Amino acid sequence: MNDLTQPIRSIWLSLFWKEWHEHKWKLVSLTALCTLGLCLFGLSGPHSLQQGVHAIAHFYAMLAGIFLGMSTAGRESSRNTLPFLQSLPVPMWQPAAAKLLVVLCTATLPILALTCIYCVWHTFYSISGIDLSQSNWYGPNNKFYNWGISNWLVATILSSILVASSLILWIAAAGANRSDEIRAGAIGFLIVCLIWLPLAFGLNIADKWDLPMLKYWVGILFAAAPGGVAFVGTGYGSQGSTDWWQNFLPYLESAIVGHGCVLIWYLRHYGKAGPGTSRTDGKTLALASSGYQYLAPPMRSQLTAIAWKQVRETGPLALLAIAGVLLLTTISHFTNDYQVCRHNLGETLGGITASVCFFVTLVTGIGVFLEDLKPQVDQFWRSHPVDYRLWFGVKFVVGATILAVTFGSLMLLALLLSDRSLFGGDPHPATAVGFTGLVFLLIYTLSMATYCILRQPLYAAVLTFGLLFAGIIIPQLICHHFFDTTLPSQAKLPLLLLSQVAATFVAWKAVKNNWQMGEI
Amino acid sequence: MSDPVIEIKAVSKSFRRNHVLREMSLEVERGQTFAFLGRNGAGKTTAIRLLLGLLDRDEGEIRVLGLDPTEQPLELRARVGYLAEDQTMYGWMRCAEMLSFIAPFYPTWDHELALKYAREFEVPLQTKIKHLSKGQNVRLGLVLSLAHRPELVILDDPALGLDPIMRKQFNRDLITHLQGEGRTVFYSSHLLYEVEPVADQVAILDQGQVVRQCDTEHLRSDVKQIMLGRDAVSLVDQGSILDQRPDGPEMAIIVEGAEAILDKLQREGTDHRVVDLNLDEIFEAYVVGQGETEPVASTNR
Amino acid sequence: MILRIEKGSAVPISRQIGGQIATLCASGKLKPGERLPSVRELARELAVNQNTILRVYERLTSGGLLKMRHGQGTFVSLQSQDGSLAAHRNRLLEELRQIARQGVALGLTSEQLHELLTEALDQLNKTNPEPEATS
Repeated sequence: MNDLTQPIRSIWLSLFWKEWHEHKWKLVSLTALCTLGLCLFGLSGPHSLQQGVHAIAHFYAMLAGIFLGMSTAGRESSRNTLPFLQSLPVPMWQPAAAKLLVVLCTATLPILALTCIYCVWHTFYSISGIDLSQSNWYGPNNKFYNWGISNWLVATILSSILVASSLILWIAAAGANRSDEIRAGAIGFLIVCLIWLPLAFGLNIADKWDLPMLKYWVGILFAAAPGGVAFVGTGYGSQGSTDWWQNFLPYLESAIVGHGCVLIWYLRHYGKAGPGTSRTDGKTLALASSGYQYLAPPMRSQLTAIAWKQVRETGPLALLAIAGVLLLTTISHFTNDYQVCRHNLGETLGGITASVCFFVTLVTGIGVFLEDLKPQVDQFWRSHPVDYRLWFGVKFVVGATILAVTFGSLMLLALLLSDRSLFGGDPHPATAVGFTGLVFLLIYTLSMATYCILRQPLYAAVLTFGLLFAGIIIPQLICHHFFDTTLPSQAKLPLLLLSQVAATFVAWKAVKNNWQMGEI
Repeated sequence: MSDPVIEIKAVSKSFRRNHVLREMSLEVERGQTFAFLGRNGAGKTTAIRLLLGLLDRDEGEIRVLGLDPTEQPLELRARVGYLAEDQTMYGWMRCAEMLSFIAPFYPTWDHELALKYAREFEVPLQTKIKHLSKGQNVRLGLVLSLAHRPELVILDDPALGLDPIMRKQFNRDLITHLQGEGRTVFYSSHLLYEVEPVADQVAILDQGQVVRQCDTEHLRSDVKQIMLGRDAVSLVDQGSILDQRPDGPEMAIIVEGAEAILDKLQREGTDHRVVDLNLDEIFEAYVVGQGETEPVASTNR
Repeated sequence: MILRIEKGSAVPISRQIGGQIATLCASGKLKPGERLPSVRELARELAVNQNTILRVYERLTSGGLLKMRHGQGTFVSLQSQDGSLAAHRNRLLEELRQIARQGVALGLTSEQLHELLTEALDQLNKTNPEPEATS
């Protein structure tokens, strides 16, 4: 309990105090995700430790970037607290800045904790006489081998932090003032894709027509693009020349100028054109006066009504995902230096669909009950004679169907383009497709269940990710330690189905009994 | 004769250590317009949520239209029209879409009636809900809660967010559409002077208990302020004194059961004066009155 | 027929309505035999509970001021003038008693109060040469 017997002395302290209280549990959960994740990697042997750092750092940058960016942009409007913030007698940029600063700290600290954990393991193994610089992953075959292990670590951590921060800033700016987190995230994601597209195009042209100057300038622009720091780091910064600083400086300047502009835009716009301000504009009034006449017939059944609602809620996200996948495929198709042909296009499409599908499935799963379980709306639908079984069932099935149709058709397109070589190595392509489908269904259900319990998109995403991760690693660890084998492939399907049933059950119970862990 | 639509018997509800309702009892008869009064935080909204089965009670018994809200919430909700306090609906839907969306959930939904109400209440059908003003939002909620011709309408502070003109219009609608058709209306409010012309009965909720349930008209004649000499206060039964405060050599006491007390004072030949109170003053006497404290303590006020 | 409801008044709504109808009858603005709005109409007009209006009509009917004819509506009774006078006497007495009490509280004597009343009547006669016969 924080008993405020005295007022907080300054505006900034006050704002930071508020943001800190809103973010401390996010920080804890993200830190837990990183550190426990690395511990799981560490438990499976010293040799996967560095792989763990690498994988977690990369994945974390995406996860934290997208979800923290989303919540920065949309949380206040989603909780209806934006009008209150706007009514404070301080310029809006101050709360916006305080929020961004705390969010950036929240994004950075878990990765630093990850580094500490790694160092502890590293020291532990060094004392035990295991040389981690010669491990399986970080051996002479690794492209980072000649960097030296400490340089590699610093570069990995730094790029993870920079990518996450850059994504947070861009998404927060792009999605500012949207009515909820999911919308903010979707808009942010789209804008990120739209920025990458021309850059990728430019790079491709530069390669094709052999224009080193164009390539150089596009590269510099990339540094300013969302998450572009990573490309710069791996693509351009690693040229081991002596005057690397001279080479590096333009990228740094571009990154600072670009992100500075975005920062200024964010600070100037956050909370300015809130959803509440457009209420009684001329357009609405005109609509209001002309709108009394027409009323569509009632929907035929409860099932149609709920399904219609779900399509309207999930549909835009699915369309956005399709747009995103196509954009990303185009980008990637043009930036890669392989031969441009139908076959390669198909493979790129397939790969990108799969990775976008992961995030979109996560977001969609969270989004299914996002609005329904907001406190006031929750009262609204529950106060009608709505059978929660029908409500849950139809929403679940319709959401899953939309995802399946969206990504199914993209995958089908990829298969056709690539002459079915996507599953070239697999003797049972149908089984593989089915299994992948089930995995995505589980991600969808898990994120739905975690949201229904936690009622916070970010925590739901982190928990889902953590559970998935643990679900992949722990059975293998158990097999490894107790039975000294790898996980038999026959066991995967039952495990998957079991998790699916459990996740569905939890989501169902959470909707039925209105469980809520409350405002953490 | 007695045909209660709502029966609440000794219902308790607490959230963690916060006892919101303590053995609250209430009865609403069919066809009545029943106003449920209480200060903010007195437990009105909690009681209403219990009535719809949106919350589970800890103890006691509730019957609404003869049904137990926890056991048959769906049957119950289909026959009740409910407007929540500050109701938030799906912002992305247009009003017309909302009506079409809600329609299939009610077997008795009358779409023509919905359209008629929407026109009467001036709900802009093609506008998205998030762009509605507060008053329009309440009126859309009213259309939603009336279009299936419910036997019982439960409105949680509907006047909140309506301006005086709209409130009068709302009272008119209540009288013509609901009272006129013999529907039972149970509504909570904190605007007492708005309630008085409309309600048949009022119940006053204070600290989780109904401290008075009475005919509106009868309440006015039953609760009076009496000015009388300090020594004469002892003639009045302490239990019926709601509030007392000294006024010079006299005491001003507010009592319930005024008729009997006045009779008694008349018989004893005590000098006294009677002051009529308005509903606000009566409410205040019940809710913040100092009935049980000693006159000495109340001089400090 | 225009009635005015004062919300939040210490006088209950039904008494306000009853009193105003009685005044209208007494002053002749409502003539004997004239039809009053139906309970429904008046309730809608005033935004007042129908039962309240019904009770007012019933009370005035039993007092002889109004007459309810089944299926036709409510009318001002032919003997309304007498009936309303009786009703008004009581009401005026009550109001005068209140005024007298205030006077006594101010320390006025009975004579001074009578003087004040005479003065008020004189003023009324000056501004309005044809005072209302009944009041």
